Amino acid sequence: MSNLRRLIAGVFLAILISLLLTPAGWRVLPQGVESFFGIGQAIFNNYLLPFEVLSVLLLAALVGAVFLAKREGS
Amino acid sequence: MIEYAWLIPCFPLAAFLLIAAFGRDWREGGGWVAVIGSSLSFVFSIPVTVEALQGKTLELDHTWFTIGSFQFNLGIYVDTLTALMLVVVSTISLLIIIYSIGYMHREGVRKPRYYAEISLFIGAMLALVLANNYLELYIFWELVGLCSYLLIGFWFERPAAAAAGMKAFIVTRIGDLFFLFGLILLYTNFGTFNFLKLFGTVVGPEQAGLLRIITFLIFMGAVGKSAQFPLHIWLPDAMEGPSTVSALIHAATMVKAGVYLVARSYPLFVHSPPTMLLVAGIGGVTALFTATMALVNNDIKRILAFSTISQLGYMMLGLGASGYLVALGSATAAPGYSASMFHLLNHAFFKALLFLGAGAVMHGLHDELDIRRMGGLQRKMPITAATMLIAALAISGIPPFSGFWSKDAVLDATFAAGGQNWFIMLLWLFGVITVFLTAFYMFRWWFLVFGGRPRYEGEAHESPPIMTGPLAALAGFAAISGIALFGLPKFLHYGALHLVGAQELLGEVFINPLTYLSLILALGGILLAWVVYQREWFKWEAISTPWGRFLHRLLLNRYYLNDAYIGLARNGVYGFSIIVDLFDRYIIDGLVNGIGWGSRGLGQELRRTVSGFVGDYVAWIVGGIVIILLIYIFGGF
Amino acid sequence: MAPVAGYVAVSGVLFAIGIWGLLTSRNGIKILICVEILLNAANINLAAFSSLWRSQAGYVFVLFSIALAAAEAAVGLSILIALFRKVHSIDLGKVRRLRW
Repeated sequence: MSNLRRLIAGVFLAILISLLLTPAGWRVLPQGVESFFGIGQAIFNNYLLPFEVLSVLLLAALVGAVFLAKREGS
Repeated sequence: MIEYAWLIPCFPLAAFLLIAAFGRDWREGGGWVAVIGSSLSFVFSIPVTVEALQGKTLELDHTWFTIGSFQFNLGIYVDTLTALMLVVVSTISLLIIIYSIGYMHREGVRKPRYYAEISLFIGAMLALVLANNYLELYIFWELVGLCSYLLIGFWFERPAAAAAGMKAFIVTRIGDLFFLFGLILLYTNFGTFNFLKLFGTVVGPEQAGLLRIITFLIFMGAVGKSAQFPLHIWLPDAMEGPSTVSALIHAATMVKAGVYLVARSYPLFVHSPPTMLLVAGIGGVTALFTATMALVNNDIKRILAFSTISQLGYMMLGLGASGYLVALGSATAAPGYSASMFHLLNHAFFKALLFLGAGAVMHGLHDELDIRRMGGLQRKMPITAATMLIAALAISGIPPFSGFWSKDAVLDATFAAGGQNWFIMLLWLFGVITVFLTAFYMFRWWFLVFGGRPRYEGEAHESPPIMTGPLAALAGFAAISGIALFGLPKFLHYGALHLVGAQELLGEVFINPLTYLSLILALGGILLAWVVYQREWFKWEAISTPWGRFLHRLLLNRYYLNDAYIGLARNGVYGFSIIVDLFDRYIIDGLVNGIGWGSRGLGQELRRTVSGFVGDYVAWIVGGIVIILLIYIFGGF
Repeated sequence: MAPVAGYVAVSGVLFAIGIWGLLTSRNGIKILICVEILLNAANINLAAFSSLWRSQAGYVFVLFSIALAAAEAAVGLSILIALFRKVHSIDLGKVRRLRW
């Protein structure tokens, strides 16, 4: 069975590589985009809600990780 | 009076109902009621016959019900042919029922069943000959077949009797199946079953081909009912029934229904020369073939059974031979038609007489069947012996008894047709040889039963008058029915016949050299039988050769045809049912079970995808993506 | 800068490598690392296209994605620890309780 998995993964790899290494008509990235100030502004102006939710999520992950890794009976 | 002809079958049918309901309480189990029924139909048929012979014909038609465009009609049609059959059936039925009162006296509680069934038979037979359309005829045809089955198996606790009844019914059923197909074809192509309408339609050439098939099929029905080759095997076995049944049904009336059918259908048959040839062929071959089997048989009734089939063959021969000429267009009249029907009349009388006599002998000797254990009965049973002698002379064709005139007429007609066709001439030869054989075996029968020294044990006594009366009456008829020769061509003919006067006819008969040929052969047969069986100057055992013994065995076993049929039926049907069974078990059941097995197998395989290892599940997802990618690359959206 | 195709190629190859490793391995740690690889491959892709379209949304997404990856790694590790306590092995091939 693991051979089959290897096969599938290998095929996937092969396809993707072959697809990607034959570019046609890709555009060129523009020069020098200063982005850092923009990120900060975007977070706190447009994406405030996801930011807050993310923090809650991190809290939940923290609690969960600690709980799961605890020794029994402690 | 002729308008009341429809009453004729009603009396015996009413008798049937009455006896079936109340027979137990009456004397003789309803026998006298049966006699009354039969006498009434006899009485009514006399004026009807007289009027028909004067040239009157009658058709009465009544539509019983209609389904869509199909009308079911019942009616009667009376003409000279009907009149002839009425005479035969009603007279002989009456005499036989009277005889039965004595013969069946010892049967006790079985008597009502017997008289009811016999009355039903007589009614159905009369209705059959009066029918005016094929459907009605077929209905009563089947009904008489049913009565035959019931009466053959009258003593049903005897396995031989029950088997014989079934055999009769099944074999005739085969013929009836062909008959039915013929009727279906007839109806779908001509739109009617009615005789007069059918016989009146003009037949074009394309329909002639169809008529060949139809008439062939109809003839097969006649072959079954009249026990002609190859459907003859049931009649010898049918002797298991009481002798009165054998006399009435299997000698005088029901078996004649096949001949009647051919005669009645003549206007159809004349459009088909091959069918006519077949009729003659089967008739002639059967006549010879069954006569040979009668030569060696030792059962008092079976000899007569073979003889019946043989004589029926003569009738078919006459019908077919003359009809062939008419069908070809080389003749406009069919003398064989009159000859055959004349022979039918005569044969009915002397055959019934012979069977009743055999019954009397069996009755007197306490149901002995084997003629090797009889002998010298002419002293103990003089009346029976005398009437039997008359019958034997009649059937052998000795003048002035009836058989001489009719057999000669048939052979004459056949000879005339034989001039045109070598096959018919060969059949004529068969017929002539059969004359010799008939005389020989009949007198072998008579000498072994009545002549010589007694070879039986115990006492033998003459029958009571109630039985000897009908015997005497039938003997009288057998003797004088030859007179009908003089009237018959005028009333019973097909086509334009040159009508000859009585004097001319007589003269013609005795001038023809062929007449003397058959007479000499008949006398020769009688002489040979006398020499061998009466005087015993010559014993067959003396010339016992391997060839002779082989022949003897062949004939005694009825050419092994019976066994062939049984083997065919048993193995053929059994083999077929094995094939069907295999098909059912392996293919049909296999399909159904296979679906179950398939589902289970598929399920087992699919189970293996649920491995519990998450990596596999991810692999499935990735696999799906791979496939989509492949489609994208090579298919292109 | 470089053509976008390069960034996409890198991201794609990384992704394929991640998948390959994910499917091929039985070691729990290795699988977690491969998941990280996958996430990072996606991040590269996102960042590249965000730069192309001059949009901030892509960068924001990347930031959140990194944070999430961290959270997920933590939780994943703790699950692995809990599993190890039961089965005393990190060979995921041995864990087939979800089987029929």
